[in-house]
Formats: sequence, C-alpha cells, structure tokens
Amino acid sequence: MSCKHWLGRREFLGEIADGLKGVALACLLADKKLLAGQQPHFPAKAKRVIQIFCPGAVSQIDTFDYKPELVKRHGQPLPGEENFVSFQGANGNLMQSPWTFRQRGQSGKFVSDLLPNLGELVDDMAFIHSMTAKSNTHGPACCQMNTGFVTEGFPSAGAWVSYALGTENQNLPAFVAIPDVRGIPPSGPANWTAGFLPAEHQAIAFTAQEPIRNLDRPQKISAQTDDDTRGFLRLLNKLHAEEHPGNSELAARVAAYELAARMQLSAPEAADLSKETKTTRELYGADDPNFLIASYARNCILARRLIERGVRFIQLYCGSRASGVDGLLNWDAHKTLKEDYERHCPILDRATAALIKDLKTRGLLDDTLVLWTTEFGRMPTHQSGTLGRDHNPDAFTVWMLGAGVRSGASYGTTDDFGRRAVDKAATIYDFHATVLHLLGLDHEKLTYYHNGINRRLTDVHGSVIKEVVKS
Amino acid sequence: MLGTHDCPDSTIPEPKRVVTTTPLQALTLLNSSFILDQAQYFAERLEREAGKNRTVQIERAFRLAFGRAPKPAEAAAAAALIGEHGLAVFCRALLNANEFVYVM
Repeated sequence: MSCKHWLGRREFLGEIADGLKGVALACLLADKKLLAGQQPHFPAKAKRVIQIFCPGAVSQIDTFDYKPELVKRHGQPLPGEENFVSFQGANGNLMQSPWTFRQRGQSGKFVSDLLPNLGELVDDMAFIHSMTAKSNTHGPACCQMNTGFVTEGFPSAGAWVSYALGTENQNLPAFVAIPDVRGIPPSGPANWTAGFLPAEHQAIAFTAQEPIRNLDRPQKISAQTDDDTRGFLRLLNKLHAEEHPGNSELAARVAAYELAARMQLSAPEAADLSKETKTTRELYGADDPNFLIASYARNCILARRLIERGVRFIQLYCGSRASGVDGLLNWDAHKTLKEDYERHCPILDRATAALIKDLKTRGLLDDTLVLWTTEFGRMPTHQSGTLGRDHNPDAFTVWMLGAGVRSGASYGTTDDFGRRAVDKAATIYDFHATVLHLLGLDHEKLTYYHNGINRRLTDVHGSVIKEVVKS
Repeated sequence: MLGTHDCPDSTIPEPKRVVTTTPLQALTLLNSSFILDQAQYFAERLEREAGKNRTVQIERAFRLAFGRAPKPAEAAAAAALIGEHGLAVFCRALLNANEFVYVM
C-alpha cells in the first residue's frame, strides 16, 4: 500500500536514525485506517445494530423451542443420556416446561406464555433454533457470543463494526453497552472491549439509571476556563505525541478527550428520557412500580434514542452476572426455574416488544438490525434434586429481526427434547458472519493484522446463514 | 474514580486487568471533585515549595508531574494559563496530561 507521508531527500537522510521508525509506524497505522474504510464491502441492508443479550443462558425449552414430546415424556429419563452429568452435576428426568406454548401471529409459531408481547411479533422474526456454543461456562461463553472467542481479549462484534463502518454521529460513541441495573454480565467489559483493534472502538458503557458521571463541567470552573485548560492540555499532548509517534494509546486518549467534550454537549440530550411522551413511556413500562421492569424499560428507550442519533452498535443487557443465588439476577435457573423466569420474563418481554414496535413506527426498523442472544441453552431434564435446568451448549435459540432479515424464517431444529441441534447445527461464527453480511461486510474480508495473523471476528470459520437473509 | 479506570471486581481474581481508554475516563479526570481537590492541593504545594515566582512554580510543577523541565513553548503557555485562571487550573491540566497518566 502506498505511504502518504512523503519526505524530501534531505529530510529523509537526516531522519534515518530517529524519524524512520516513527514514520514507518505512522504509515502502517494510516494504511490500516484506509484498509478499514468507512464503506461496507457491498450494499448494506442494515446500518445499525441493537443486540439484546440475556446473560445466564436462557432456556430455549421454556421460551421459543416448543417440544411437545417433552410434555408426553415428562418424568421419564432422557433416552441415551440417562446418567448424564452436566455442568453442575447429575440430572434427573425430563421436565416439561411449566408454561403453556401457544401459536402466535400469522405463521402460527409456538411461543411460551411467558413472552406474550414478543410472541405477537413472531411473524417478523427469523429464528435460529440450532445454535451451539463451544463452552458450557458463562464467562467464556459470553465472550464467545460477543467476541467470537472463548478467551478474553478479542474485539467485540460491536468493536469490529465500529472499526469497519465508523460512527454516524461524531458527537456520540459508535458503540455503546447498556448493562442491566442489577450489574454487569459475566466477563464484564471483555464483552465490549476493542481487544487488539484501536482503543477507540471499545464500547462506552452507561445506562438510563446512571447518567454519565462527571458529564457536567464543575460549577466553579467557567466555560472560558475550561476551554483555555483544554487548549493547554492539547499543546502538552501534542508535544508529547511528537516524541512517541504512532502510539495508538496516546492518540486514543486524545480522541477520548475530544469525544468527551462533544459528549458533554450531546449526551445529556440523548439520555434525557423526560422528553418522551406519556404514551411512549407507558408502551415500554418506564414508570412501572416494579423497579426492574421500569429500569430495563428505560434502558430500551435509551437504546432507541441512541439509534435515532446514529450510534452504530448497542449491546443491551437484560440480566447481570451471577449472584450467590442461581437465577436470581440472571437467566441461570439451576434450581427454581418457575420463580426465576416469572421474575425475568416480564422484565424482558414488554419493553423489548415495545422497543421493536417503536422502532417500526419511527421507520427505524428499515435499516436497524435487532438481535436477541444468550450464551448457551439449558437441559430438557431437571437437575437432580432441583426444579431447575443445567447448562446446555449443544442447543439454544437466537433470533434476528429488522433490516435485511427474512421474516418468519426458522433455521435448524433440535431433537425431540431440545437437547441437541440435529438439523443444520449453527455456530456463533455463522451467526456473526450473518450479522456482518447484513451490514454489507464480508466476514472473510474484514480483517486486522495482529501478531502475525490477519484477524477476523469469525476466526477461520463461519458461513452466512442465507435462510435468514431476505433475498 | 476507580470504576471508570477498570478496577476489577474484588471478589474475583484478575491476573491481567482489562485496559480501556474511554471518554468516561476523560470526564472523570477533568470533572470529578476528587481531581479538583487534588489540583488544589498540588497548587498549594507549588506555592509552598516554589514560592510566588511563577517561572519557578512552573519548573517545579513539571519536575513533579513529568520528571523534567518544561519546554519553552510549554512554559509560555503555562504562564499564560496561570495568569488568566490561577495555579489550580494549571495543575488540573497537568493531572490530565498523557505524560502524567502514562509511563512510557
């Protein structure tokens, strides 16, 4: 690739000892930016993404993967795996879902009674029922769903998209993470890190509950004082950077200050939910007496407002890291499935459905992709001695909706009990390849050179799942 | 303060900390009451150790914060900033500089 930094001959000879290293490095970094570009590889269907993530592993059997055979054989052992020991220990017999499944929409897709509002939207969704994960442990599995790898330190899908496409709004970050009010997910910031990509591509994490702290200029410091201070700071950093050319950390920090200054102007407006109408607030449940329902609802409204203002990729969490009690703060219902999901589903169902309807009404769904994800599934048997389900990375459900998605599609199936993907088993690599495809990106061409490898979100795997893409 | 700077959960071992660079850190270092207090203490220290002479104060500040003397351009800009807005404002800027935050 051609280098944009031309030196006169005298300068070149004079700089050989000290300058060349910096020049070469600066060139390389400049070229990397050119490689990424701000344009997709081919025309995109989606321009932005909202990824809803339910940590703790949502049971597919109790939500979207209807298994009538499970009802018939309730109380019998799981054929072929009668003494199966899963993540937490021994399993008991097959346990039917405590909730009824009903047919929804025009398509007649079966959805659990736990999710009536989302159930109304099935005709627009594209389901992948045969998703599989590499790990049965929350931390690594959350990493895999969000970054493509089970170890921490790899760039999140949102970081890749920020790197590939940049931001639509210079005054807001391209990538935002909205953690649940109950806390951050397993593996925390590793779910939204930039990894080895330039540091500016990591997500900024904030919620509707905690407006960005320290956003306001301190009262005793005037606007003029602040401006002059920043001017001086810019000079210090500029001179310092000249002694350390090509250092992306320093550049990222300078960029962070510049973005912080712009966010001081734009973020208060974006996060100001008081501007929303009463109708909208009621649609989402923003003022529900249940604090958790209201909090997640407000985070959904925040997500919509950020999308409206051009944020490229949003991770929206419903549930947090595990507490000492299984299934209390997230979807990890090892012991008390019924109580846990009757607590969590009302939180997820109403506001998520409201978000989708609201996006549609405002015309945003035409170029926004909505994803519903979790890190793995759960067993059709109950755990020995409990009325909960253990981890199951061999079968779970995710869905997509919105720009470029084939409405009413259903890809892959699990066996009679929802234990394993049996037809068209899909991987998280396939999922990411498909998401990138909808954004107009070829997952094999979106690369970043690091440690001797042209790195990809999809590593060396993955195929686009054409069946969920609108033709 | 620590939260925005990747403080790990104290109940979980973290052999290698995830390191982030975010505008939230910039906002914390610029606007938090902790930093404003520290800038004030820094300014008071300069007055104690370097007296009232502005040039000596600037020299002392750079020695303390960056371990070196200020460049002419830096000294001139610092003098202008202090003249306009006072020593604490100058100290607030030093605490935010890349050279202060990063060990190169």
